[in-house]
Amino acid sequence: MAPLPNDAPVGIYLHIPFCHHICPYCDFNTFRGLESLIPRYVDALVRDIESNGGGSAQTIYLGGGTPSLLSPQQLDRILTACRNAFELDPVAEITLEANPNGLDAAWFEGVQQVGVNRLSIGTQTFDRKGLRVLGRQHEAADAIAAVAMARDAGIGNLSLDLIFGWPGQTVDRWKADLEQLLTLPGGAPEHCSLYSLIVEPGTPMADAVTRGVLTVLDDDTTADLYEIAMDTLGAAGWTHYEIANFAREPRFLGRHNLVYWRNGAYAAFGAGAHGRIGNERFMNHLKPLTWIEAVESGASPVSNVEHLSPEIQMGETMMLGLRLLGEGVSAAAFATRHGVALDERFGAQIEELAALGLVDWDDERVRLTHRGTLLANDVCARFL
Amino acid sequence: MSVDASLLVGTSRDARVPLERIRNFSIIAHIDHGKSTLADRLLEFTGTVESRQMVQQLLDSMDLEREKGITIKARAVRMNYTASDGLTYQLNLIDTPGHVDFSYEVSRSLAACEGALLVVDASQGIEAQTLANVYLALEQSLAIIAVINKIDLPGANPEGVRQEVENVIGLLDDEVVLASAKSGVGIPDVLEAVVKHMPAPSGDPDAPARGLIFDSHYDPYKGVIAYVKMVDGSIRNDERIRLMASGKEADVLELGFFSPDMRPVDGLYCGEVGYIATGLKVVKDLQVGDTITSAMRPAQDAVPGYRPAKPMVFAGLYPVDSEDYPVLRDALDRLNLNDASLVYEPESSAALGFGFRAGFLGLLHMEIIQERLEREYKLDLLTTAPSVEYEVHMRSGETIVIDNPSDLPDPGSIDEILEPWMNLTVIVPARYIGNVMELVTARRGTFKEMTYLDEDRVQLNFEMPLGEVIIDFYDQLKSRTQGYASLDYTFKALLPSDLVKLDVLVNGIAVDALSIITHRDEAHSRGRELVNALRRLIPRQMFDVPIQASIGSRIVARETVKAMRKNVLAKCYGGDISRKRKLLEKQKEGKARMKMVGSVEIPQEAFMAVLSLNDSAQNPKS
Repeated sequence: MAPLPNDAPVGIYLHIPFCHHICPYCDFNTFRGLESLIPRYVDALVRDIESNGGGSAQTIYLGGGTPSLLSPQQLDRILTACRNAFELDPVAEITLEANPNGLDAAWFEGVQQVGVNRLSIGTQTFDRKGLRVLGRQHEAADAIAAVAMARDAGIGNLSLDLIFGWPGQTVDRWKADLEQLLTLPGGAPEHCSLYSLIVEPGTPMADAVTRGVLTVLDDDTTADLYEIAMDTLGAAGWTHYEIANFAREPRFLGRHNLVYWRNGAYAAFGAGAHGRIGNERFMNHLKPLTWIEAVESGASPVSNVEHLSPEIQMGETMMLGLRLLGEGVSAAAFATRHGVALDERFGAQIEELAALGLVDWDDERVRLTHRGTLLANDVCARFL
Repeated sequence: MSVDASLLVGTSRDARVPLERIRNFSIIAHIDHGKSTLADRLLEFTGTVESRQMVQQLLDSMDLEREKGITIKARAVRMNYTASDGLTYQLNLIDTPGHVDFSYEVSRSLAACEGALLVVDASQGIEAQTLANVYLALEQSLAIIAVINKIDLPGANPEGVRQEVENVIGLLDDEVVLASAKSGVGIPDVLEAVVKHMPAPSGDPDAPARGLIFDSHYDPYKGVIAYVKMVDGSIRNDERIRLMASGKEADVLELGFFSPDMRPVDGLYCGEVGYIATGLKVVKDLQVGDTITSAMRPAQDAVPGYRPAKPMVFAGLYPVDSEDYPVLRDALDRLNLNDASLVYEPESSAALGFGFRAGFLGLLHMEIIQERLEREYKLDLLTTAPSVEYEVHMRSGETIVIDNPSDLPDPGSIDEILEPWMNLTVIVPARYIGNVMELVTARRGTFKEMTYLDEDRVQLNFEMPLGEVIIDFYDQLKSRTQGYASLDYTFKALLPSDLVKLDVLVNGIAVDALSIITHRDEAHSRGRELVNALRRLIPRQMFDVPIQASIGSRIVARETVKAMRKNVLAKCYGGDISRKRKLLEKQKEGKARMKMVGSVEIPQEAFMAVLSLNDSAQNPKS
């Protein structure tokens, strides 16, 4: 329940900042051509986790970059370090982001055996044109095959990422993507994340848009695509529990990301990883080698610390919690977490947004309405 | 010799030379035709500045001037030149503003001269503003020497331009010099022509002092510094002076000349040009065109031609953040120290809160003031669309003058409204005549006269309401003539027109700052264009926003800004919550830069929408 109390178990985020290829829309912290650093990087991760980890934890998430570049053996060492350093929930969710290409059945079996119980597969689209526009290095068949191999290896919790709003996408192409998602051989995945494409400044895609080579979809069309997804997955019985996230059944909610939305605490390891513990958010050195050298020399790998005032924490609770569509922000949990009544701190904003039909407020919890969901930025900004 | 000794130490000296060896002249040129470069070469050639010390284009000292390629404030520089006759002459180069907004200042600068160099680009020919200034110079009986510049550039047509100069101004052959200021070609010829063809000043050295103020600026240490031409008599540095128009008196603190930095001297003598510092604190006390005389032995009559600065264009200036109001007030006070033509008074708008109504000489002047306020005082400003001054004759017999459309009284109480009309001069290649005619007539202009300057270039004379000139006319003129047209205009008269006030309602609330006054026949189409432009400029809000234009209580146009449907960061940021928060905070800041009118956020550009009406009609929603 959002927000989480201060003493809830933490999530563990591990960043793997390596890719064979950088997609043109991506502005994440990842590097191409540094794969030879991976063995040293894994050693440093193990060392950093063992020396700085601690407390109880409920989830582990390996994100990137391309974490599926790691071998099962490397993953085993990292996860073992986590189990050694943290009191890990015996039924912890352990998620690994995987690219659909370059993986074989043995790899899937291997990662399952070392404890990975959830895969997030970077599908992005099943559309051939879309895959090319997005600069992906795989075909639709690779994603379908990856899902099948994961299932064969006994990984029972799969999430697929899809991107909508890419240049040239049409309503029909998007409907086809959703249809493919629901009718994958072996059945639909347990979970999916549907991200609307954001053309980030400084990316090759932004250049292409500036030069007029690519044209982004307008906001109304993107809104149409989003609503189509809500309707289609809703009709298939899925739960739209967070702005970008859908679960086939309520038990398949992404538990690690819930820690973020519930403004919970999470430890973070690896270059450019972000964590929040107590009243501080921190960020590690972005460059893999800088981060490795800091860890190897026993220095702090942290490059930035932001102190969170009670005001900022309350604003973040709203900004994050409102993204949880069914759960919203609970007045009781808010008071427990922040020591201030929700309506005392944000009553005026909530009333105003309720009058505009953007949130529902029943004195127990505040939640986005359907329109509020589409306008979540404006709603969330009111609390900052 | 004592004179030589003081020359060596370079300190103050009596700079007196015989009247017949003084030449006072200015340079008339169109933007980019090379005025500043020519001035630089003259200063270099006469040894006034060494070339390696030369700051490029020394005379234009303000950043803004350099960026806009124009000269805003005049400067006067003294040069000593030994001519081919073996005599040393005192040459005073008086710089003039190069824009139509400043034609009065130009006329005063020219009044201080006996001659003018007309610089014409050898590939472009004469432009309208240049010609207007040439006529000003001719009216004041100045000797004119044409400098056909940039003769070494590809595309130069010196002979064709020489022909044009002869046709238009009737100069003799030896009054035309071919030059390339950039490479230094022709500079000695220019100086010889100045000495030979321009007359010496003709004042009476023994008459009571009369110094014409042709420019002034505020100096934080010396107070207002007046630039003067001694028309008659002389003024010493220990005298008490009187301003003949303002009636103020003050002691001379310092006087001297620029060469190019300030050089104090003991006296300014008949025919000379220099500066006088008096400690007076406000430029208004030493207005351009006023005459300085001796308080002890005052002159009978002032130098003719003085006219108090008269603003022609008015606009509301509002701080986006209402807490900046005192900063804006102080900034205007400071700019006013140096710019007597800027007038302003407090104004309040129901939509925009507290601000100022400011009057400017013209649109460029307005733009300069706006930019200086934003740049030098870091103000975030909201400027309303410019308006002219209307004279309203009431049924009651009373006459009122308004410069803010929202102040127009109820139409039932009005007998007649008068608006300023201008004489327009447009010079354009003949093939664009049709386009220009079309534009002018669409703006209520009437055609008066057409003169061929040569086989291709035509001078067109029109009459047009100033209210139509200030609404994007110049840009439209440029775009319809592929940039070839040049424009000049002067006040003609106040004339009655059938005018109505067009109000704009945003979300049902009348926004006073968006009201405009327009001709009745155009009111409907203006209304449609305006709401259409506003529909594009006002961002989508959380709800539908109707935009209406009305005349009185009658709605003449309506558009709707449809409610925003989607604005959501459905993107994965991993655990980088700070970034997500900062993005939202930034988005929120962007909104803070808009003005809340009722519950609608209106961006700054919307208040200038009236200026882009024709664009919006041509380019539907992008």
